[in-house]
Amino acid sequence: MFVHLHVHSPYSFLDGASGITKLVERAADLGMPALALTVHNRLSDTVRFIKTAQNAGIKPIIGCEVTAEGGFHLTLLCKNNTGYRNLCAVLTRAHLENERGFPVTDMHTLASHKEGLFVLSGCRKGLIPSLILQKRYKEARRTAEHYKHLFGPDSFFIELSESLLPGSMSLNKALSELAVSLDLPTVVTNNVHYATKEDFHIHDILTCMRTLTKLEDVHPERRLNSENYLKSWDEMKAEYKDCPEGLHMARVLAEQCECPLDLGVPNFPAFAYPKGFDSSFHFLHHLVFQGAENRYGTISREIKTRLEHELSIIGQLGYEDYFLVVWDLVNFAVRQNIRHAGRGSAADSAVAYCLGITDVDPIAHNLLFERFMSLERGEKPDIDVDFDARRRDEVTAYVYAKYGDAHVAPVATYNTFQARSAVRDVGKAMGYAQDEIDLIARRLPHIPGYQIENAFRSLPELQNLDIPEKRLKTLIETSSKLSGLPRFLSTHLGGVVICKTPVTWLSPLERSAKGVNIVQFDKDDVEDLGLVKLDLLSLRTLGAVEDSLMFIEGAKPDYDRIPLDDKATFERLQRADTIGIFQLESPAQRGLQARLGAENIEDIVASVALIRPGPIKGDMVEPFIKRRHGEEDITYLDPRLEPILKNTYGVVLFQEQVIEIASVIAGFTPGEADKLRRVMTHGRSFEEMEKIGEVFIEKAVKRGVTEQVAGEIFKCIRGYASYGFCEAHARAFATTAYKTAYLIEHYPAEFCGAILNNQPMGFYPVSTICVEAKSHGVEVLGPSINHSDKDVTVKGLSIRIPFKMISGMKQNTVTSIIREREKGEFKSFYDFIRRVKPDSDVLRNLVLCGCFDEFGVSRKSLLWQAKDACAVADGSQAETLVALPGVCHGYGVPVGPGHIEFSLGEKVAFEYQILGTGISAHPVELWRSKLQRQGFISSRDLPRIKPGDFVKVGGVPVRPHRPPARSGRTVVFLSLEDEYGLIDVTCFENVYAKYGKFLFPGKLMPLGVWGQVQKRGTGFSVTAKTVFPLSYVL
Amino acid sequence: MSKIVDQPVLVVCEKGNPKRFFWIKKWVTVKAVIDKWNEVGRWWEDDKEKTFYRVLAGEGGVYELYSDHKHWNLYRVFD
Repeated sequence: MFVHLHVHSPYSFLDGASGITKLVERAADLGMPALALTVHNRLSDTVRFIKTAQNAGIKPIIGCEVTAEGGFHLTLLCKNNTGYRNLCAVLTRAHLENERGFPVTDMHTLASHKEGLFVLSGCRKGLIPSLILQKRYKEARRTAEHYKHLFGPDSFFIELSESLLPGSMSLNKALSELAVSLDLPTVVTNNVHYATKEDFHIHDILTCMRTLTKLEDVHPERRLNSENYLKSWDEMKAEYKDCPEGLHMARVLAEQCECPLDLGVPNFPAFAYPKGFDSSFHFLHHLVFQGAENRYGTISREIKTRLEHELSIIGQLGYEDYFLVVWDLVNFAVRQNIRHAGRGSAADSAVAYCLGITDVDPIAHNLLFERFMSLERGEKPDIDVDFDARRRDEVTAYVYAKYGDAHVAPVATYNTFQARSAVRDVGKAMGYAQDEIDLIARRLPHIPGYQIENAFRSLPELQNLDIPEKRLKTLIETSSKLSGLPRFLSTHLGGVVICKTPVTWLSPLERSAKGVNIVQFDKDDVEDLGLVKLDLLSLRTLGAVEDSLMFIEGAKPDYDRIPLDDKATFERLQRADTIGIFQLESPAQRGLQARLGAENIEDIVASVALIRPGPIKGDMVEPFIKRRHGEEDITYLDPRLEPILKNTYGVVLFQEQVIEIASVIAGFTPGEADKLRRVMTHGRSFEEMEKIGEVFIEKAVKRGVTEQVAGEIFKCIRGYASYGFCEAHARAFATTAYKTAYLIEHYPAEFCGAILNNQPMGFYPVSTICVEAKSHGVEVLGPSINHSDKDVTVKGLSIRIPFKMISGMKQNTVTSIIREREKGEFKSFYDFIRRVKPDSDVLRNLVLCGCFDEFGVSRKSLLWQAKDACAVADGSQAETLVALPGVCHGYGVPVGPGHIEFSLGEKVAFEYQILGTGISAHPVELWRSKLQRQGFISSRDLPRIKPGDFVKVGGVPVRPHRPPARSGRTVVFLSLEDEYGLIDVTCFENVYAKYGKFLFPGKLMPLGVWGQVQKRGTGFSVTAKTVFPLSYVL
Repeated sequence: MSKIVDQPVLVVCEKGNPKRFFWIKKWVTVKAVIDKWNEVGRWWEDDKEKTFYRVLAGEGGVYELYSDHKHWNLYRVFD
């Protein structure tokens, strides 16, 4: 039997076409006892591979194909853990000591880390085969001798890796002869890049992506044939019948290689507790009870019991150090005034609350600690803390300083092919025109790649694309097959691992785009490796809060003590005036607020939890609103549900309730409840939920519930496979939601300015935030060369657009502008150019967005002169400028053809392009008189229309989307933005089917809608009957 | 130097390899297969995979033949 020792998984980014599971399954099907994965210069697939292979009953062999000096390849295999550590060290140096993205393994480093490694001479790109192909036989021999000496005769092998390529026969013959003459063993591999022959097409497309070529192009990296698959023993025997010893050696090496890692062995540092305590648990206990005194004043028996219970579980599971590390971080943030907020299920923990990690009191709200941690699960708890996005790096720096650079590293994340990215990349490789690719990709929803075929079958906007059928079929099929394959490695948003041992004992490090050294594993892998990940997340909302407090002149509110019963804030929510408010601004949330009429923080907690796929699909929204208003009786399918659902009017809102129902009604064991929890939080699979449903009904019936009632109860919880919030998380978010509502209500200019300053954030684009600000009496001032700053500035009720919002603006130009301005204001356009010397693209944008309007010269005129003015500033074209008629009279106002100004429409178009919003006007404002003549209604006038009447409305579409609907039918929601605000539009399936190409046109297209006015609560919307491009009527 | 011919030829095989082929009204005997490789061609246009053979003929000439597993072509003749 043969074992493949040179195999590329997709983690050889764009050079491996089959997933790990497929490779392992194929090897197992072929009866192979082991398989090695050897991706290019990384070990990213190691953890997944070990798990998959062990599940399939075959031995995982960990290896790597490294790139040595000169670009030559070598295949390395780990014999054991020593070899693995050495490989990590070699790869770390290869990455960190060379240009990012071009790791080079230094032979001396490799030689000094050779213990525990087998070294194979490599594929055709190895130095020895390359020299032979060039007929430089003596050099090939010298190199082989050198490697034999360097790595030892027992650890260096001549690799025969390819057949059926031009020159392979003579290459393999020469390699075999060389091995015999030097008394070196040979080993046969197949340089595998995909599992089966049929997958070659995918690999070829990936190669085109990697080499930035098209299928029609010729490139040396393109494989000539489809032979690099996992061949069977018979196939390998037939191809290498002249080298039985090489085939045999593959098996021998496989037997000598051990799996080098034991997954799941904990590797977390002990927290350095202060003197006076005898253990970290002792110190944690002390801190928790000290914190409890601060939080509660008096520690009641109930509080003490709860805290002791939690501490006991934390201690039994050995996570006291983890809690102390997080406490220490939060403490650092407090000391440094870095705004932060704990979120997620950690808010179920009273210990976390007493340590100041979270701000929700789980005892007061009766939140289950077991949702966060339990002995049965024994899983590492995940404590997520959000920090002000701009200061998160300070927290990370603290972690490095505290635990040492060698023991800390950010976690990686694998960017994988999704529908849009796959279609874009495959389209490019197939030679589609850029316009065609843009059109298709933009019309595709953000879905995983495996749903592409279904999307092309069912979405109206993807029909009749005017692309030849076969060509489109290849695009769809290939894109679909790329689904989920990793494309590249990047840095996880906030995950950082802290290790007891040096990180490089477990993972090589490489430099990220941001310049930090990251591990080569993602968040799931690091946990399987036994590492503990800290989530130091950044939340722009916290940055916006910080900014708004900074903008407020005079007495500032104490954010942490904002009153939670502010009448004006709740009135704002009742008006559904929630754009800009954290978690409450989406059209669905605005629709809910208009009907719910929130009166207290509990209503906001419910709001946050209600507009999630789980409750929506579970049909929870309508009953909740009706019961909240007393319009529907609160009934329970089983009396035992009352204590569980009483606070939420008999409606299932939170994950905790789902688990409790399962335990109380069906008697779920902790293991079964945990399975249910996993489906709700990780799996989100309806198939799995259905299986749980069968168990639920069966067990409930055994406990005396009728089958019908059990079925009805399960119906209420089934939707949660799609995702719902846990109560602790909803409470944490609701507090932030309320406080941002308070800020926007009382400090509209400051908070809108802060939102603009922290873009991109929230649900809406810049233009919508500006329109909303204006509708609340806030003036949005355009950028000004003498008055704008790098960041947003707020004065009274006006917001000034900053330089950083200007497209293409460079940091050094901003610095230069501000530095020059400190010496004195700019007197004219030419004064600016002379002093700042901006590059022409930046200058063009500054002109077109109105930065120089204050000098009283038309934008067109300045644009006309910009190029020559730059040349003059350079000193390269002084004479030309002087020669231009009327251009430069002592840097004065120019005369001549430049006096003509752009039309208002042109100005607005440029402003949109450069700033993302109109300053001179809103585009719809320009068309208003024409629209008015044709009977179009504005967002301001919509509430005056009688519900049920038909109207025509128009605007710029904002965020058209198709959220999950209870009925399973597709409903499109969008907002039309005009000069006064937003009009929410609903398109049911029949309208969507007809006008999908306008709703998702793949480009910005102002739309008109004819439809019926709906009034629900205090909110108005339009149910579309017809949708059309607004240009049809202009 | 070589000349691209790319014309169908009659080939007699032995153990999967060409033994002789009929070219310009006579049989050319294959003395040795010098090289052998596969090419997928333009798969996106439904090209079939071909196996190429570079052969040394008994009369000393070097030829390239290919088979798409149904038909044989003489692809190239080396001077």
